[in-house]
Amino acid sequence: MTLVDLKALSPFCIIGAAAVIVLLVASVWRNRLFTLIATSAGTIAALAAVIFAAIPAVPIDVLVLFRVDGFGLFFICLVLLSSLMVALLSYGYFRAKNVLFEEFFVFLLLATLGAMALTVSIHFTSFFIGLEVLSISLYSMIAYLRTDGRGTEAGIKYLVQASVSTSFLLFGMALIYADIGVMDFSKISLACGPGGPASMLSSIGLSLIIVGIGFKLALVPFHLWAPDVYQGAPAPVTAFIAAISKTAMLALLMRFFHSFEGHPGLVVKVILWTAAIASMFIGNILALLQENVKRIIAYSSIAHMGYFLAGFLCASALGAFSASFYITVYVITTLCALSVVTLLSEKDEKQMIADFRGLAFTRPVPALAMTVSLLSFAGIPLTAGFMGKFYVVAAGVHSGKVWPLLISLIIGSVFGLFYYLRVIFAMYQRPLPQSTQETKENSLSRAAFSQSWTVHLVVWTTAILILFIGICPGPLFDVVKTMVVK
Amino acid sequence: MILLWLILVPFIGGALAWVSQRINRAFPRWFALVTMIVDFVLITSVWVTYAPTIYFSNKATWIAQFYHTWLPQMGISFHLALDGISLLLVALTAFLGIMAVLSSWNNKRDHEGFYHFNLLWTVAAVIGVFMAIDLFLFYFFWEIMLIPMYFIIATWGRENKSRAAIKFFIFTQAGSLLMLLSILGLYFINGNATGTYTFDYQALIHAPLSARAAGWLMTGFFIAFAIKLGIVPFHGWLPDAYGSAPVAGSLLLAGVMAKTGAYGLVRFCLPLFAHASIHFSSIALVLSAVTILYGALLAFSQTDIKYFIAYSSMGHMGFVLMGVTIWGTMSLQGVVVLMLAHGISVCALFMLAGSLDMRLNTLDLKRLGGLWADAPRFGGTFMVFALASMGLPGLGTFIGEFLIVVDTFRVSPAAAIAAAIGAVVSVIYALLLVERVFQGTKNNTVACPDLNKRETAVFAVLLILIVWMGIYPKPFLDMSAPAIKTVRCIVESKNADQPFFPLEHGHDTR
Repeated sequence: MTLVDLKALSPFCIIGAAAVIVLLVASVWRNRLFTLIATSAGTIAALAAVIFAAIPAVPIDVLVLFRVDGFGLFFICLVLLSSLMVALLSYGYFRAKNVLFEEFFVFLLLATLGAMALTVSIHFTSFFIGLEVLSISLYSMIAYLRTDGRGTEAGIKYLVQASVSTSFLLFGMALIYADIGVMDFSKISLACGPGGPASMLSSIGLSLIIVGIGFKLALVPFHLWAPDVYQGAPAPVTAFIAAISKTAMLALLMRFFHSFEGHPGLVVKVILWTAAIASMFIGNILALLQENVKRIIAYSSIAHMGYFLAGFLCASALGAFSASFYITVYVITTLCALSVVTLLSEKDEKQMIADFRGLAFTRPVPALAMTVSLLSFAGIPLTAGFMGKFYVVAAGVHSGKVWPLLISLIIGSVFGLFYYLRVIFAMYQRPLPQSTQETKENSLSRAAFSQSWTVHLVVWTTAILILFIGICPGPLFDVVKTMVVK
Repeated sequence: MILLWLILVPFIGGALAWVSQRINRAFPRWFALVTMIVDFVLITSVWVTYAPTIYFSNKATWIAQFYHTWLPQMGISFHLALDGISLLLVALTAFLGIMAVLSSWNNKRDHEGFYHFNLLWTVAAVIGVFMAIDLFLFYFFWEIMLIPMYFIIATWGRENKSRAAIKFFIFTQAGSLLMLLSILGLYFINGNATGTYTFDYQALIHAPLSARAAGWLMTGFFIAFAIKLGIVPFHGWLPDAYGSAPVAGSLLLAGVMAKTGAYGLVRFCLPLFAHASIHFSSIALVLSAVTILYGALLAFSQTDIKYFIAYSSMGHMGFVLMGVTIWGTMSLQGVVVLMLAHGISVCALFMLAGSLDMRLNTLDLKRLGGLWADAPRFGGTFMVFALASMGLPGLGTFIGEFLIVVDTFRVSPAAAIAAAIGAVVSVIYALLLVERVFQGTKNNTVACPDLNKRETAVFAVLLILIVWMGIYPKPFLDMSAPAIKTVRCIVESKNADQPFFPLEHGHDTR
């Protein structure tokens, strides 16, 4: 390993070091604010390292495990920024719940590290290790509120699904290794390509890997865990799962298939197409039936993975661009929506649509932010979601080969409007008359509100970002284009 | 630059109106009124400045343009332009914006500021739709106008508002997404063929399209526009939305938003897909005739005044579609006049319905009747506008419908006859409406005060306008003539090199 390698990996080192520092300090001196500052400082330093150290060094292969390139760094930046947001959310959330949370930040940093590793993996080993670092930290994050029954249940559910998906992955990797004896992506794609030595065994292996990835992304039919986990996990952790762990997995999926140059074989294609169409339909339809906002976000995120796949499956430069753009937009929007949910969940878990009733009267700013994010999910102009959907549709029309996906996207979006509008409608209804007792509690929680400035910060930042990207997408366009599409 | 201001003024005014709520509850409506008046003065000044040049010019170019790059990476620009048709429609929009603010001047409601914000943003987006000639920008405004209107219906509507609002949003959104596919299809076909990827209207007009591609692309546009117009079978959202929206909402929906569909047909469907549109014309004629008859017949069975107006308004939009489909000089002029006159008359009717609702707290025909004795001025005004909506000669709608039917008769007598039957039926239901509300026995014990001074003044202005259009429509016809000529030139030149004419009625002789 040379100095250049180290430079390229410096963001990883910084995040790892930050985790250790937080852990060590917490064992002698518990201070919430320090933990937050250390975590944020670590994340920001890692971002700085990406910009000043890693970008000049790329593209570079570190060992056989990682390829640090513009594509990977773009997603690392996205992961780091989201993780910063989640840290801010968690601080407000856990402080309002009044629990010890120093260890939580250690898990947060480690999970971030795992996610970062996934985005630059080009080898089964690094893929698997990154995934496990991410997953194992997530188990504890989901079940962090030990006294909360739902949280614990969600933690166990996630544990079970992650183990199942991991075993699928491992089995798939083993089959491929047994068949052709290699583990890095480029060689696999060579071997599995036309005229390669790979046999049926490898395509079964590939399919099993897709199944494993499908579990993580909660694509239909591997989605059953998502609503329960989203609902049960503490709101900031939901944000982490929805934003960061999915981003990392999507980046890996894109890299894996980029090495096949868009032709991963018929079986894989059929699986992905089916999963995409099924996700768009079933995700949107099941979301219609929900009363819990977190569950709605869960189902809608299933549908959004379908939209992502519609861009991704175009297998063109514009397709890759649109998919990356879409993830970025999706991450920001999800963070915005879940930060509002966090804001409402601080005192007691308020996440039913009925709890959102009259929000525009009582708390105009969160209500506005929620409106913006829901409109962005629905893909309405002036918001980032519109631009994301626009590029995906553009890529689809351009490639001319994915009409069924585009039609599903349109039908799915129309279904989607129903439930987004339901939440928005509830927020702008007159609040139900409250008893004086409740009013008192309300004003109490209002006091707690003003303290959680970190959550408010996230709400504001993400909402403004959504509008900014919606109105002038030029800057993000250029960044994605230069970093992702070489 | 003035074009940009036409859009910015209501956008900024809306934001200010929202904020000003914090200072005083009365501020938002004053802000909104002033904003709309400023906007109207702006567009009138454009009209006055350019009118002489327009009247005597044979060659139509844009009256004014505004261009700024927006997303050059994708060939998207912020390109606005104004010709005669869009100028008239923008003026109508600004005028109805003033009326919308006035129509609900004294109503008590929650979120005074947010309400006026939505009102002004709807107006701003509609004005944007009428001026955008970059297809992406057009789509952008097309979508923006939905959201504030959704909020207006969902928050301040009457009974059944949630259902109506969601239906409205979903229908129109489905149409727009199809249109988005078409826009992108056009963009890439043009880009692949010519090498320049652009959304600019001027460039896309010359896009080389195969007949099959043009057919598909046109269908996408047509469905989006037909949904906005409320053409059968795409009308499912319309009666509920018109009926459940508050007065200002119904007024904007029927008065200007429906016109965006007609405008889209004239500005985009016809010139971009000249050949495909003509292929499609027989179907469009049938749809328009069905809409006219369906609207007229269903208007009969309504017991709620607003639903009544909604169905009758649907019938008029059938006329508009018919006129565009025929695309003769006369019929297109008829379309423009009908759009303006219908905007005025439907605005007046909805405002009258709103005033009635405020006084008696019901719009149910079964509980109304015999109001003439109490409120003669009210009754008289109502009658004039009811007659206007059935197309009484001397009032604006008559000119429009007459021009359309006459031109249609030359092409397709059957369609013209169907339209005429629709017009006859509308006479009956208009008189029936007046009879049920103002004559007969009084079914309601609440006293109905007559129009007050503010209302009288507002309706007097509307009355003057509709009579002006009926007696001396020349300024409006002159203003739109060059733009219509341009559209027809494009369609004709595109069809000139085609080997055959699908409808044997010799457009070229006219």
